Amino acid sequence: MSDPYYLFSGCLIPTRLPFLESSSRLVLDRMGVEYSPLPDATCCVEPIGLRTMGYDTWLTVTARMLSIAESGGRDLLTLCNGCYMSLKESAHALKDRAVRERANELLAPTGRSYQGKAEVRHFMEVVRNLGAVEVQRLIVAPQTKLHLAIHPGCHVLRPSEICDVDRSFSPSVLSDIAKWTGAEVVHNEDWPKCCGGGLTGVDDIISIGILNDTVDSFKADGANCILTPCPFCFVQFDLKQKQGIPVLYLSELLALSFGATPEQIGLKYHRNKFETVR
Amino acid sequence: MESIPIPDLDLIFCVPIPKRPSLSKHRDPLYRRLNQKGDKRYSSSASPVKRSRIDTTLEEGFRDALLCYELWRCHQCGQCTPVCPSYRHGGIHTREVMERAHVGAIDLAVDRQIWQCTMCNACSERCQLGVDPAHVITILRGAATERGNVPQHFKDEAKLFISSGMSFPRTGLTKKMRREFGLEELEVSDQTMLELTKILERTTLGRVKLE
Repeated sequence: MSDPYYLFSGCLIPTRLPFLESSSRLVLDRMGVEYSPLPDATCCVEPIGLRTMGYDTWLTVTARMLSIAESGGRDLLTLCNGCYMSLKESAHALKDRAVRERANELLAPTGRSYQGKAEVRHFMEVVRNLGAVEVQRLIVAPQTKLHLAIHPGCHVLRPSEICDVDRSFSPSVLSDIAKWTGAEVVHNEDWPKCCGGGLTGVDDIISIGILNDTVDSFKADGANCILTPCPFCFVQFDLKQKQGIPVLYLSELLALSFGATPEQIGLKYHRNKFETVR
Repeated sequence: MESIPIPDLDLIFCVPIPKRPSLSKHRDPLYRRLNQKGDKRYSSSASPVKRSRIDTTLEEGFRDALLCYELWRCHQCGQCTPVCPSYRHGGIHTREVMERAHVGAIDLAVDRQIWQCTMCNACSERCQLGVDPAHVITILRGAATERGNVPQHFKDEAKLFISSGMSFPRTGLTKKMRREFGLEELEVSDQTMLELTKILERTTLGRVKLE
């Protein structure tokens, strides 16, 4: 199965960051990727809090969403690292027959069942699979002024035996995509880094400490902008970061290099203004 | 052939865990600074878990379940701890949690360490013995939830998920921005909510108390 996809944008993007959804759709349209929103979607049961609180709830709710995708005969396309790991790990667990039977038992009252055929893709993975030639053909405004720090985020890389978009230590896919747009990559992730988003609201002192660790390493390499494919990391870097480095979501970088105007993709909603770079 | 003797569990639980101040924490300038400001989170006396006490609150069945995740593989090498972003700021001590889980010396009704994990999976990735600390913490958190030990933030998030099917609130700004970018209204249909309720009736999140 490949495209058309079911687009699953999660909770954070549609509620708080609709401009990221808008730019993602714009990029997918330009790249000729067909999609439609996943019908009857709920939250993916995010993998940091809710999944750990109710493991069976997580397994059943994700099995329900995977079964919807399966009955439509399409792959799921997620815009968020949290959704990606949550759904991907569930799809992996549900490949086991015993686990699947248990999940289907819990799922029975809803009248759905899952046979283990759905696949989950990350936005970054779809862009990578399209390839350098296809993407570079669409670029009309190379982003040569950008000195990017790359932050793929935890849940698109780890656990690496399940999340297979990229390798876990010194990942390269995101920096490759950034280079296709003409940007310079000054900082690549050499060591598992975290944005601290998982502890926002739970323990803010630790959360901010983790964020500062990460941003300081970016600053030391002379980055003038951060690139991430994860909306949770985006929120951390944009709202909580004190050093003031602007941040771009992957679709925003691609949209800008495809010739979209900042107004069109809502860059005005960023707290750390991107105009300072241009 | 002689059968292998089963270790006496009571005996294992008699052995006290030595009360050891974490050296790295005392050396850490951040720790000293925070401690001077009167932040009690870092002083061992403020910890709700008494380090010298051996707690056997983990039921035997639960301990067995943990052993299924091959906790015995953990050699306490401690590689999981320095890669932990939370540990550097006085958060979770991964190796210690693994040790405590292994011997059952963890009071899940009050333990706060397990909730200081960002679930970044760096520890599981680093582990050279194939143990999965992040998954062990996941299981411990699940059991802690059953005992009512959940941070308020996650309680609120769960309540929002149960009532609206989404983990983030839909506000007036959501509506305004979605209209501005020509995106369809964000709605979880009644049928979807009905299905979600049916799932929650039969699973943990619907059962536990979230006051």
